Amino acid sequence: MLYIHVGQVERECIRTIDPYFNRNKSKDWFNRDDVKKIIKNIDLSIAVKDEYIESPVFGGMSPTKLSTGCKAVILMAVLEKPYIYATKCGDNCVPDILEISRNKDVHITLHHIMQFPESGFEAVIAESGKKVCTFGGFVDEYYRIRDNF
Amino acid sequence: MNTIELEIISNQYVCKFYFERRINVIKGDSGTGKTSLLELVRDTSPDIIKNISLDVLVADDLGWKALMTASKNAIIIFDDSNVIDSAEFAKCCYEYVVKNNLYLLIFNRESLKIEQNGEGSGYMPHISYSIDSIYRLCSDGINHWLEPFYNLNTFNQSSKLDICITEDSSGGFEFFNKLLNMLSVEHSDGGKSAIVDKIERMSIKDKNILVVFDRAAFGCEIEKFVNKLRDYNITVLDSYECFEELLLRSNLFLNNQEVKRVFNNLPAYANKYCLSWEVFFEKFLACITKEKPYKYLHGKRLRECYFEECGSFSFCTFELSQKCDLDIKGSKLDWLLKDTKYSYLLTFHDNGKNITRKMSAF
Repeated sequence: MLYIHVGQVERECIRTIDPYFNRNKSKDWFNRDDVKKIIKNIDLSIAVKDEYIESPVFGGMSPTKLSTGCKAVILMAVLEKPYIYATKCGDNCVPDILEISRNKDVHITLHHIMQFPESGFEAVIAESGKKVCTFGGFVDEYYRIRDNF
Repeated sequence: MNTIELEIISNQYVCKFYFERRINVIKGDSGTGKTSLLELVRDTSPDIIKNISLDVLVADDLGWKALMTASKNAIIIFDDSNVIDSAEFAKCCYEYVVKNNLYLLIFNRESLKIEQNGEGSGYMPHISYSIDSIYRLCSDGINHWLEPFYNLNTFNQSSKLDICITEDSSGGFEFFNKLLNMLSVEHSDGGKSAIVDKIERMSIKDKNILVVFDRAAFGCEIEKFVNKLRDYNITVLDSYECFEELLLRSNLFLNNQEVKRVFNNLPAYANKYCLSWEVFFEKFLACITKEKPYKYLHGKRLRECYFEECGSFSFCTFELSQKCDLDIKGSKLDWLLKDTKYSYLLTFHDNGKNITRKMSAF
């Protein structure tokens, strides 16, 4: 399940994605099929083996050169209990975030309107416990909570 | 300086950005090359060609304040910064951006709306920035460019409208109420941040709604506006900066050399004096009308001179009219807007003779 926190960023939430990722990455991550797919979908790059990645623009590169959004989604996939500041993620990260959250609990903080699909997904707004299944439902609950801060 | 350029060319990365205002927000998908841009900005290698109007500096969450305080004539880039929604950041913007001739390029998906809790510094106005300075970073892999992030339906002469909501509850509302007299015109009753709630409360999903807001200062509100009202038939005014800009573009100032000079080089004048163009237009209009019978003050009642025939209202006495440079007979609103940037608004004005549509619709 995807849990969306829209209030203040809590201490447990990873907000500084780049340094956290660069410090904690492990070469095994990049041999996983789900991580390879994320890198392909978001950064259009190929994780060849271990930490060797091929980008269509830069050629061979290290995972530290992946985009912040891509790193954030990889962390959602590999951490046991991910809690990530997903306002660092562009809208092209949405399909992968939803896919990961179908198989495990993923907590994210959002301080912007992420463009979820109009329908066909499930998430819980953490502050209210309200389940949302449509983009409109997410938008309404997001502003209901944030406007009453 | 009219347009700020930021061009960087290397064998793997080309970016050409042009912007006019002091506060610029850039959003976009992940993986479009933002991090690479920052690397190239910092890189002084001779193979990188840079055409940049001013020095470029990159702020981080620890040193941003010192950078804004001490830097002059520079573009400062904030990359996914955690400070941009703080009262301290807003305060620094108001204090140093114009004074130090700074242009901010803010890569961030959050609104610059200040988080109210925990700051303890009392009331702080949100940073006024234009919806036209919110961009999407686009890329084809090597080339990078900026496009407007928000594309709203804009008003044209074939637009079908039923109702108009204005952000302004004073002069602007009064003017639009007279001008669009074939429509029902209401104000949001709480400025720009109350527009969305007002429209939702009115239950007008089936109506064609013209919303008049000041684009020059609506940056903080636009995300909510677009997402909350996505099922409504909303139309907005194309490149309408604010009410004062509309008046300055009217025939009232057609032969005013100072106004001509300003509009011929608007970014240079507006950026020189104000963080927000909205404030610039307010001050400029107040300044050039201060000795006139049609004196304008932002937030105050609009004088009849802007919508009533000269000599037809009690304020326009014989003595005053002798000192006035206006003597317009017939419809003042027609005269004001005819052949101007905003003449299309006259489509919904019928000199007050026939307002059956307004009366029957609501």
